[in-house]
Amino acid sequence: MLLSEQDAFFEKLYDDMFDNMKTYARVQLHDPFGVEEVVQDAFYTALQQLEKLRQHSNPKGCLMQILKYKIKEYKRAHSRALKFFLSLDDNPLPEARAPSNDFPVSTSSILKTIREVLTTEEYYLFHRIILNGASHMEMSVELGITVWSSQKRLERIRRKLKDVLPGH
Amino acid sequence: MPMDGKTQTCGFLDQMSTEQLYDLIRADFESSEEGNADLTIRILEVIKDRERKEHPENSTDVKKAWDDFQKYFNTPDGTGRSLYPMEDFDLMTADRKPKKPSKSAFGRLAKRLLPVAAVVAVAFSSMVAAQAFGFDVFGALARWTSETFRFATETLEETTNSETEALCQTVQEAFDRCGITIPAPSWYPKGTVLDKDIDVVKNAENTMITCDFTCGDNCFGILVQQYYEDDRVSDYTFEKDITDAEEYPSNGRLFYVVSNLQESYAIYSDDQIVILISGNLSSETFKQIIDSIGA
Repeated sequence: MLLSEQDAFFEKLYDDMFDNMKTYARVQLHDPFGVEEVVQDAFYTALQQLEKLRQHSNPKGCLMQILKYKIKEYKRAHSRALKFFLSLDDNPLPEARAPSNDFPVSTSSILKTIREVLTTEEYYLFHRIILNGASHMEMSVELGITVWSSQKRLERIRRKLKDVLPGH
Repeated sequence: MPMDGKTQTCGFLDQMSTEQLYDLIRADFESSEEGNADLTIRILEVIKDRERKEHPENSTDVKKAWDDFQKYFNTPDGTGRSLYPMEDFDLMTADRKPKKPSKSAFGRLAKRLLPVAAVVAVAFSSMVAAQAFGFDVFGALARWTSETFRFATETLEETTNSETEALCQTVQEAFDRCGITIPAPSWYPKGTVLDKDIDVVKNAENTMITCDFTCGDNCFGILVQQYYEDDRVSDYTFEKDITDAEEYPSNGRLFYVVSNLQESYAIYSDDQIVILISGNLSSETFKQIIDSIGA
């Protein structure tokens, strides 16, 4: 299939289905940015398997299945974050045993360490996504970057923090 | 009456409130089955049309969404990436009809159609006509349309053994607990057992009870939706030109029975109650079950 035919197929599918998929996601989720994010991510996943989708007996039905998976993954990711939040102890964390480095042992010193280790831009992203619950889509619009750039930056931040906070 | 099957089905959905349509969408998401994507999309289109008319200021700007997609998602640095990765998802097998439907498909599907049951009776004639035009509306009501189920000829033997008596008692007790005002059936084909626990769902307007049964290789279900005293099933009359449904009066109630090679449906409704029996039993067996529902 010619590239232009594929493009036309995908664009028509997008045009036909975006609103429906957004409604479907909105009924399940309550975060408008989350809604847009899962729908766009569903389309992007479909785009990366466009030839298979084109051959499928029911491309629109397939797209709906992709969306369902995305919504489930979104909910799982947020449940994990909530579970982690709920499991946090108000009391300071126990001391680490004889580490060679001086690891922080209280939540306030963890945040202090995070501030010191991350650059200003990194800390802003960390604060917005992790502490404020912003989506990658929100950060993309805010910072003028792609969602993948936001995702990769967060991955780099996570690796950086793992180095200085290995116990957590 | 419109002659187009799809228009018929839209008419049926048009009779449901937006909140009921949202319930269907939620139920579709929560179901462990893949669902009927065509029906889901049709429901979404009804919601979309409605919202456009009622709140045009909130309409989605698809052009902007497309531009955002190109700007923030469809970029070279996104190749092979996903914000919400899907493990074990095979695109080519997604949204395929299952070859061997589960025996408890009726129960799960009936639950998904909880808000539909209130209007399914009133729109029954539309649904029958839609089915006649090839739009698989009834495929959405009972998912086990498979050639692996044989349309068995059940004996019309009176079943008075203790197992069936216990089954009748169990179902009647469930009806009583839920305040269902009509008696439960007192006859089932020999070998009928409950496939799973009787399901009861209550909301502000009504109580719905769903019973899934198996009988050898066959399966069927009974759904009863009872409205509370001050609430009413919508006041509609059936049109006279139902071509495929048989009117079956029994004990003062007029059921409509539809059969094809693989499944049968029987439905009754008055102001306060909706009864739906569905499964791959013969219509004669259905009628015996119907006849056993006392006056």
